[in-house]
Amino acid sequence: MTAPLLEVRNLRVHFPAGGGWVHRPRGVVRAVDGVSLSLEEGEILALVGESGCGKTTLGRAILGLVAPTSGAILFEGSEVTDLAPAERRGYHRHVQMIFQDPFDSLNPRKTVLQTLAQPLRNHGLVPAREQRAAAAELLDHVGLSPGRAFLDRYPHQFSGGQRQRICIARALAVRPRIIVADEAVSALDISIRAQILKLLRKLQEEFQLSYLFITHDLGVVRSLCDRVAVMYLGRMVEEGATDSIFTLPRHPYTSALLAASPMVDPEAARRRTHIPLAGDVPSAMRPPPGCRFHPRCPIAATICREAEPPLLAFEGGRRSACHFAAEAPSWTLAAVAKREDVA
Amino acid sequence: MQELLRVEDLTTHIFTPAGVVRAVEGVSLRIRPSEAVALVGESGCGKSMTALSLMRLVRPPVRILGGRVWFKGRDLLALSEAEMRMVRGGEIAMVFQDPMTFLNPVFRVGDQVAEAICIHQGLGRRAAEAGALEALRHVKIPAPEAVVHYYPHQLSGGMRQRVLIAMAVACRPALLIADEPTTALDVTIQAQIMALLSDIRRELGSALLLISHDLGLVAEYCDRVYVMYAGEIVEEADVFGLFKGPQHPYTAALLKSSLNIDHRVAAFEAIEGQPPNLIAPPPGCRFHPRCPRAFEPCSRSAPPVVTLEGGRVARCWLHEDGR
Repeated sequence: MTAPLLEVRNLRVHFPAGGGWVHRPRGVVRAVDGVSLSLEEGEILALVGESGCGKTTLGRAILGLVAPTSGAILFEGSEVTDLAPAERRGYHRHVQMIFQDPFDSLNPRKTVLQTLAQPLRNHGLVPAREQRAAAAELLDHVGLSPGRAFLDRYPHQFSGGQRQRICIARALAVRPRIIVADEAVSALDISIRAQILKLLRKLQEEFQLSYLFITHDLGVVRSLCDRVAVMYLGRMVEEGATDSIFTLPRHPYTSALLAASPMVDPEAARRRTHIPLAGDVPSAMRPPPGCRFHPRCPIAATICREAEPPLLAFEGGRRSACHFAAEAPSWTLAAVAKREDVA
Repeated sequence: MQELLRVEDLTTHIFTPAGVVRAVEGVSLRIRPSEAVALVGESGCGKSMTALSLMRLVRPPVRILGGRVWFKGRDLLALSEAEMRMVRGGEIAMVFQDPMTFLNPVFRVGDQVAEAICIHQGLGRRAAEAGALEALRHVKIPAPEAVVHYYPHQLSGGMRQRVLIAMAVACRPALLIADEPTTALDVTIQAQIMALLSDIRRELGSALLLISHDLGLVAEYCDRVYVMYAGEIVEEADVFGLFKGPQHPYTAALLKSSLNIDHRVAAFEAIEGQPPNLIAPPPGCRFHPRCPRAFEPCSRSAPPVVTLEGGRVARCWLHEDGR
């Protein structure tokens, strides 16, 4: 079996909390606390969870923007966490990113040409005199055509959707293998969001890309992503193929996320009865003992307060970290039945 | 039909150095007692400006140019500022998207809730404080006795939104306006807040005007819907009718663009282009440059407002024969 395109093994990213240069840190935020996942060639993997679950930190660790505390990140089977600077550059070429806010992620004082030429120059991919043509071609690919016409404009002359297209063009400039998209469509209006999703899917085919799609929007996940990894408080709680997880979640947190996601269908929405999950996400500085989800879990039992559930394998390459994952149908059946008689 | 609120032909423009932004252009809407009504649309369509205008919470360069806002038989636009202040927060209350900008960071939560009660119910300090505690308990804040002494920054986003709701419902308003109340929150917290709003509304019998861009929330929690595009209401319908058979091409396109958790969309359908600049909106129908069904009259003259069967309304040339 060949190695996956990208593999994360037992990754931890901890940050000191509080303190400063006078006081000692008050504790450690366990933002990512032992997560393993893999991304195959040509796959769209969703990383979902609520604020503070560690999904963004995991994405940043993969991009090399934060240093992991322990664990390994492997690209095509070889470790990237301790590469020499020159080799790191090669890795960075293959893994590019798109962020949530297209207003913050473009330099307002650079023209589109300057923004797009930078990565080309950094990686020495295109001779200087061809950069203009290459940049124009990139803009054509992301639907800003004719690209030539946009090259000398500044970011403030574009709308949010157009800026996100420029960010995508910048990520594509170095012909990456993987794009890490962190809430890339969350700030966009519905009509613009659909345009960008359509574009991302088109580019995936054209450039044989793999996406790590970090989001909290399960509607987007259902339609765009092949596989889903669900995180809660720094841990992976469930993983598997999108359709399989959405029809039969094997972790009560996944169930709760699905039940809380509004449905764009008034009849279906009124037919389902959901009990909202109580309470807030606890602090990642002092995660609850046992299963981290137990204080909010509707089916928590004694064992959940005492022992941390292992990530167990299930049918179809699925994994779930719940003591009661095997009994999933019995506690999710009611919710699923309601969803299915709608479909 | 008995109405709690009737907005007629409300027009609000923003006078900027670059020109006049026609943000709200002849908007009319009705809300019955205890009804949940949605005003949906994308950013910049004028939905928040409509809400702010009917609460008279606008100041230059924004100006209300015309229209009437009938609430319980009085025209709110004709009231004195002192009378309006008693309506605001008393009979009509508002919940905003970002509780942190609404709550004062240097006052304790309990004092801020008590102040609202004090002003509108004319209670003394002691009674208002007791009322604040009661209001926080009402919105199911855990350990309200402790939370009254907290400052806003000590609360999570969901808890802050509960405090805001506590203030809003403390005076048992007849109408609650919620402007994107859960947009900044996580989905499980959103579900908690929406469930809380439903419970409180049922108990107090208040009507709700939910301003949102999220069709899922609208489908789940509202009875009737107004769809807004580029400063105008383009469609009005009951929630079931709207989602089953949209009568305006913009509504249809919005529904096609929205993604649901219960099925996979094979091909994303997008509305091409972007909303128009409201300083110089397109002639004729404001949606025609993006409309897949635009035909000859659309670019020439403003479309008729047509009442269809079941009392539904669409502003579109496609329904001209139905007049």
